[in-house]
Amino acid sequence: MLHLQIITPEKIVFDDEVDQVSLPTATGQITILPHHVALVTSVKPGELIFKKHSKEELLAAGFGFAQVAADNVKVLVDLAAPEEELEERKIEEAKKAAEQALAQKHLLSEEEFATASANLQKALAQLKIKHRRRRI
Amino acid sequence: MAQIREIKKRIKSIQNTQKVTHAMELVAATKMRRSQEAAVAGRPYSHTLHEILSKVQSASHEKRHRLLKTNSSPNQLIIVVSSDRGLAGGLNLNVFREILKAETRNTSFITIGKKATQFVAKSGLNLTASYGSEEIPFLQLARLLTKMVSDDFVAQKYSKVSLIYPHFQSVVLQVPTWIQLLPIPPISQIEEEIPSGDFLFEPSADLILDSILKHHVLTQIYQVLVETKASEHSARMVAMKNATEAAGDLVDDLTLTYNQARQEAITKELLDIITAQHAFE
Repeated sequence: MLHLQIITPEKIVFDDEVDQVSLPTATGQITILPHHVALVTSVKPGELIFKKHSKEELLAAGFGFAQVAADNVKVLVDLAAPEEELEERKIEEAKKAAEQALAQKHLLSEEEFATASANLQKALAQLKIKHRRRRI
Repeated sequence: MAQIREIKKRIKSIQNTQKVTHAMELVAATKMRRSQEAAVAGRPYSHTLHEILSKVQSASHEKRHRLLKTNSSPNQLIIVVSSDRGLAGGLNLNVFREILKAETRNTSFITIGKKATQFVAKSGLNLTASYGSEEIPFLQLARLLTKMVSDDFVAQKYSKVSLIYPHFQSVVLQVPTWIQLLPIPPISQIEEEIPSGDFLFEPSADLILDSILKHHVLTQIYQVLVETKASEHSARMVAMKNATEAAGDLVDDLTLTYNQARQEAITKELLDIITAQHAFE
């Protein structure tokens, strides 16, 4: 068993034992099983999947970091939304706003551009989870 | 008679003020509970970030990261965090007193909250930028500030960036506290079972260090903003509670005077009647 903690600046989203967890990292999706080697990595927007008693759960993750050590995994992200909390309309709006901002790229400062593209990536990650769930 | 009416008027007006302060106390109490929860909820995040940071730093070869090393610029920058509104006891004043005690030559200020802006402008200090504390969401404001100060610091405009805010110690105690943001002070190492040398870093310790240091500054600022809100509401709640109690005491005193004056008037009237009757007999 792995002890998984998912923490955002607002609250602890998840804190329980799981069988395995997949993280979207800067170097690609990685899956962590018990007795994984100690690891520190950076997390990028995508799907965070964890399994408990062969029941799979999906979260939309934002930017952050993860630390794996001796059967406990701590994930620090600025967004961690479970599937039930995702509202498609809101996400679409966020996506549109971010895309619009990016379209006027030449008017933006470097910082605004980075924020807009980060928002877009997060919105896309959430949408992906939403759509995927519908297929199943 | 005139005196009695006067006292009655004063009692009424004090009671009205008391109602207002009592309402403000209740509002501040609810807001305080919410912001206190937010302040406490942010702690696991910053704690874990600190833990990861201490590991990454001891593994990284880049000991002289640009946010860690000092530079020789004569200027420094102070970020002052205060509330937008007053009626919060000595909350903001205590912070400002600390600033007046500090060395302020060659110092620029960034203020958050109207009270701090007014203070810096009035004291004739060098104000670089100011933000309202309620206009922008905290995370966004923290991101903006991080970007501003780290850019200026890397460009060697300032040799030191610090921050002062009313730290939320307890409901009745808020202490003005300094935090040195940049250069990032040596990070206290956390002792753990697994030495950091055994950790694997992906993509690499240096790359993670770069992004985690920036994030560290951001988290610190965010936590400060949240805590300042909690401090503001609890200070206001206590101030308003005191005001309500003081108004109650005043009303009690005045009621006593009022009753005395009334009794005096009645006695006088009775005396008049009795002396008149005696005169007839």
